[in-house]
Amino acid sequence: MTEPTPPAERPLPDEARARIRADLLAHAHEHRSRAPRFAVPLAAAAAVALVAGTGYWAVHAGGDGGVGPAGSGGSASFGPETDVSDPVDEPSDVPPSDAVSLPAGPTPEGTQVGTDTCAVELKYVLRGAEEAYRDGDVSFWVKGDRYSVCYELDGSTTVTRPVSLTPGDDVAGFRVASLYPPTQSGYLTVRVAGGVVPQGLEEVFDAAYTFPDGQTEHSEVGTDASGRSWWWMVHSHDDDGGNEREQPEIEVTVSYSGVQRSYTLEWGPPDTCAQANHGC
Amino acid sequence: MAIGSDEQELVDGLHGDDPAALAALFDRYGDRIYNHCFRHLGDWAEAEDATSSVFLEVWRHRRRVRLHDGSVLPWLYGVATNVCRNASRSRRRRLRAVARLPRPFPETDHAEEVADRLGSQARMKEVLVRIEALPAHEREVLGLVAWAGLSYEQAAAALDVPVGTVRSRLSRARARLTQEVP
Repeated sequence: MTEPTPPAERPLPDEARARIRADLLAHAHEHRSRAPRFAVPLAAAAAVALVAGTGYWAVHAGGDGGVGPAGSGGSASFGPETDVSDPVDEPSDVPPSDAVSLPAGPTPEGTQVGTDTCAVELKYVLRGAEEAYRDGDVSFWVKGDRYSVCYELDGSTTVTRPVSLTPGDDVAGFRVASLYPPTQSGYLTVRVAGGVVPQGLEEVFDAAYTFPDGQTEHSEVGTDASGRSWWWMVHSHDDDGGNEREQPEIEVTVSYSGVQRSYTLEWGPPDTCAQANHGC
Repeated sequence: MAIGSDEQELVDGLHGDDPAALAALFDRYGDRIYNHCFRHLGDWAEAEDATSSVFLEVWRHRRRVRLHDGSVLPWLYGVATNVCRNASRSRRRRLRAVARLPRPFPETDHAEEVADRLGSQARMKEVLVRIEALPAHEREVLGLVAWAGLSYEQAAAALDVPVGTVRSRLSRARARLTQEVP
């Protein structure tokens, strides 16, 4: 039998070409790097440190680690499907969240977010984790019975503390990671959360986050190649850099069809500082 | 194709946050990526969307763009392969859901262009059915080498695997297709 031959190639239709090109340019202008405005040098390498109760973890010297374009496996990553288990000194696990000492409110100079790919940042949080699902800037990484959420924003990478894959009733699965990239007028506050959708509830699940400014952000849901569904929520708003602890707390309402559960996120770690690779 | 320093300029532009470099890359390789995506997806409209996604991903990962033997094309095909793989998965999920809905009446359109597009889509879908039995990594090698015209070395760079792996995957793919019963 002969090798199948695809149809002849054809150029992009003119209208599509013009539309895509315009979209690309608009997107590129909108998402140019903000790195020069950072108060701390984040250029080639970023040392990321959190002070844990027992003293160490999550220290990272970054830089671009030889990234390739495609992976050979079934992962959905766009960078190299690198071996996440490179030999790097790292803590054996994430410390108890209540042992983390962090500033009270947004302190952008101290955020020092990770600047590497999710695959690299995960080495310091959930070593050996593999990407299970990605939707744009949000990805989910699994190792064993735990997962972390990774969020990339203009070269900054935030990874949340690992959480059990089995959805629970407590607030642990609904905590938000927070990052505060500077803008020309102040700071942007970005909150990220994500987790596993209980099986069979993909069509009815919703996690609604209501923020101090009164805005409510609803979760999105996607399903990975293995059939597991994930939800995620990303919310951003301009911030003047004030002390967030003086603001109303973030309220979460999780709906499972007719059943609802509500949570109030306490400011600071662990509820609003769920990230593991940089501070708040 | 003459490649080299101008490709380096493109990469430098991307590394330097220059949107014009992204536009230039799209102008140069948009058609190739469009056809590569079509060969993954079998649908021209979806290939348009995927092409857009590919270049958005390029911008998102612009700091990581790199040349292979003076060309950015292998890296670009690598990104495109991942984007189209994901698009293909999403479509399968969507189709499973849509399959439960009642089928609409087919609409006849005699426009030559539309007929041509549909004809090539139908043909591509036949091709995709024929290669469906191949493992995904063999299909990807077949798509890059046999259909997109990449060299073994370029395909290896695109897929981030050794050249020998590309050769063996292509060989196995062709052997399987030969063994198929027509």
